[in-house]
Amino acid sequence: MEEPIEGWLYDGVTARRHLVSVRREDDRLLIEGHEPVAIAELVRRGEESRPVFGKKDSAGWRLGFDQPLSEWLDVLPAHPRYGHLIDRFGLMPAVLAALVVSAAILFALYQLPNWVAPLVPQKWEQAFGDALVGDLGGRACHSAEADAVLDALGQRLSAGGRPMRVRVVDLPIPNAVALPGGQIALFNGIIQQAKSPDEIAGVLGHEIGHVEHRHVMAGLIRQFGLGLVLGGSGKSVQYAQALVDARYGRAAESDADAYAIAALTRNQISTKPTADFFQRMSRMEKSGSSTVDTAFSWLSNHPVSAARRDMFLDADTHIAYPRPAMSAAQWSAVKQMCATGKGN
Amino acid sequence: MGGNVVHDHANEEATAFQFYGSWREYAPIAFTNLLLILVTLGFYRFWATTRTRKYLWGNTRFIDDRLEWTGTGKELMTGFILAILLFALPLALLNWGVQALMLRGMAGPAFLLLLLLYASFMYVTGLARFRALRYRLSRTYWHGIRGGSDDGGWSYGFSAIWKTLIGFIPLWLLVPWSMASLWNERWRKMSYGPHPFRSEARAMPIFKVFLLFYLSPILLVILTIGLVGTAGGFIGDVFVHTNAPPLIAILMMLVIFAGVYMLLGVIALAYYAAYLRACISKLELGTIGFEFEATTSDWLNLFIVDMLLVIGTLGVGWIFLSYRHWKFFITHLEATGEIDLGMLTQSQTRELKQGEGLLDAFDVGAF
Repeated sequence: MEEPIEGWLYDGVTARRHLVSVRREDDRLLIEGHEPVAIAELVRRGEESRPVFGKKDSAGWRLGFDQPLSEWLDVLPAHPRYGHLIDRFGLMPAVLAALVVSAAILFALYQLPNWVAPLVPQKWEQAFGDALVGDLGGRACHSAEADAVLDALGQRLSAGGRPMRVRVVDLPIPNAVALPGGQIALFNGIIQQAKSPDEIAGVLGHEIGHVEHRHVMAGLIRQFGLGLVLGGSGKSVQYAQALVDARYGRAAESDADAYAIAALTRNQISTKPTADFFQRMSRMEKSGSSTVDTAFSWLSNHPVSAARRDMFLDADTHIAYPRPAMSAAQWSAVKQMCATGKGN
Repeated sequence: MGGNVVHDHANEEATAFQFYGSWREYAPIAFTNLLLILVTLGFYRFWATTRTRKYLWGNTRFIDDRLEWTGTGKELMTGFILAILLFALPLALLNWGVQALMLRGMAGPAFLLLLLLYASFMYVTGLARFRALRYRLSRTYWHGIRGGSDDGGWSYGFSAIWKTLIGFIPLWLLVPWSMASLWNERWRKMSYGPHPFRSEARAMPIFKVFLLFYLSPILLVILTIGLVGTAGGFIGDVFVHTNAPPLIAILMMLVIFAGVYMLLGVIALAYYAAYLRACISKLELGTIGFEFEATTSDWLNLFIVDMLLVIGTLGVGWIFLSYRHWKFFITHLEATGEIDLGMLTQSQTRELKQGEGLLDAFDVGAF
C-alpha cells in the first residue's frame, strides 16, 4: 500500500469541492470520506498536465490532483490524445492508414459509375434519354428508306442483334454521339464527308460499342455525382451538353473500338475505310482547315492515334470477302436524307 | 478553497473569467488536427473540434476552477449525419421539386412550394441554433456540474420563423426587436445546474446603432457621385465627365469603393458588438450576472488580425481562428455576484446523445 496523496473531489451532485486524501489498494482507490472507486472505472479527463479522473456512468464525478502522480501514472488510465482509435496505433501509422483508405474511397467514387451503370435497367435509360433529348430539337432528318437502312445497319452491328435507334441530325459537324437509351445521333457532316458507307458503319459500330458497354449511362451518373458534389443545379441542358462533350476515357474508347472491329468483321464489312477516315480526319485537323469543324469533329472527343488506325488496318486482313455496308441505292438515300426530308 | 460560497473577488484576480491558453501550446493540436482532417477527407473534423474545445475549455478559469468540455467526436458526427438525413436531404428534394414545377410552367404551386422551402429553412436554422446552445451547455462542466435544457427547441423553430418575418416586414425596422426577443426565448429555456437562465434583453439599446444601416442608401449615393466624378457617367440623362487623369480617377474610384464597403462592414460589426453587449448584460444565472465588454474597435481588431493571419499564412492560419475567437470571447466576458456551491446541484436535464449538427459549420459566437 502506498502513501496517501492529497487531492480534491467533486461528487457530481453539488458543486462543493471536497479535499480528500487518496490511497491505492490493489485495483481500487480508497478516498477518505467517500466511496472507494475501482481503477477500471476511472476515465482520464481534463488536460494532460493536470491529472483529473472521471468515473464511468457517473456524470460530474471528478477526482483531481494538484501534484504530479508519477508513481501512479502507470496504473491509472492514460490521457487520450487524438481519439481512442488513433491512440491505439499511433499518429503516423494512423495517418498512413487513413491515406490508403482515402485513396481507396476516391478511387471507388471514381469507378462507381462504371459499376452502377450496368445495373440500371435499359427501360429506365431509354425513358430518361427520351426525356432528355426527345427528337433532337426537331433537327433530325427523316426519310422512310434511309431510316430503315440505318436502323437495320445498327441492329446488324449490335452484338445481341438489339434494335438501335440511329438518327441523322442536320448539323454540318463531322461527328457522332451515343445518347442514353440506345439512341445514336450521326451529324449530317460526317455522312457528307464519308467516302464510303463502310466508314459510317465503323463510326456507328464504335458508338454502339459505347451504348452496349453502358458508357453513356456511366457518363450520366458521373455527371450527376459531380453535380451533387460540386453543387451544380442538375439542369437537363447540362446533361445534354455533357453527352456531346463526353470523353469516356482511354479504356472505354478502346473497348468501343474493339466492339466496332468485331461488329464489322462479323458482318464482313471492311475496316479499312474506317482507318482511312481516321487518317483523313487527322490530316484535316493538322491542316487546321476549319476551326469550327475540328472543334466539334469526331476527333475532338475521339483522339486518333497511329495504334488505333493500325488496329483497324490489321483487322481488315482477316476479312476475306468484304461486302459494302449498304447498297449504292441505300447509301445515296442516306446521303440525301437531310436534303429531302429535313425536319419531318 | 473548499468553502461553500465563491464570488469573483474571492481570488486575487480581478476578473471572473480568465483564459490561460497559449497559441504555442495549442499549435500541436491545431496542426495534427489539420493533418488528420486532410488525410481522412474531412471525416476527422468532429474529433478535431472536440480536441480543440477540450483545450480551450480546459484553459478557461471561471472564478476558482477551470471549465471542462466533455463532448465527444462521435456525438458531433451523429448530429451531423442526423442533420443531413432529417433536414438537408428533404430540403434539397423540395428544392428540386420547385425547379421541376417551374420547368413545367406551374408558377403558382412552385411559388407556394418555394415559400414552404424558405419557412422550413428558417425553422431549421432556428432549431439548429437552439440545439447547438443546448448541446454546448450540456457538455460544459464546472465543479462537476453541467447545464442543459429540457426543451427540444421544436417550438423555438416556429418562433424563429414568425419573429424573423415580423422583423423584416416594416423595412427591417424590427430586426433588433426580433433578435433580442429570440435571444431571450433561447436563453430562458436553458439552465445550469438547478438554475434557469434569466434573460431580459431589450431592443431599444441597440436600436440606435441599427439605424446606422439606413445610412447605406446615402453611402450608395456617395459611391455613385464618386464614380461619376472620377470616371464620368450618366446621372439621369446628363453625362458628367471628369478632368482628372485616368490613373488618379481609377485610384479614387477604388478608394471610394473600398471605403463604402468597409464602412458597411463596420456598421455591421458595430451593430453586432452592441447586440452582444446588450444581450449578455441582461443575462443572469442564479445570483450571477454577466457582462460582455467587447467594443466595435475590439471586434474590428479581431477581424483585421484574423484576415492578416489567414492571408499572411496562405490560409494555414485558419486553424487558429477558433482559438482566437474563444480567447476574444473569454477575455471580454465578465461575471459578478456570488455562487453558493452547496446550492449548485447537478442538472436534471436530459442528456443529448447527439451534437450540434447543422450549426457546427458556423462556429463563431458559441453563446
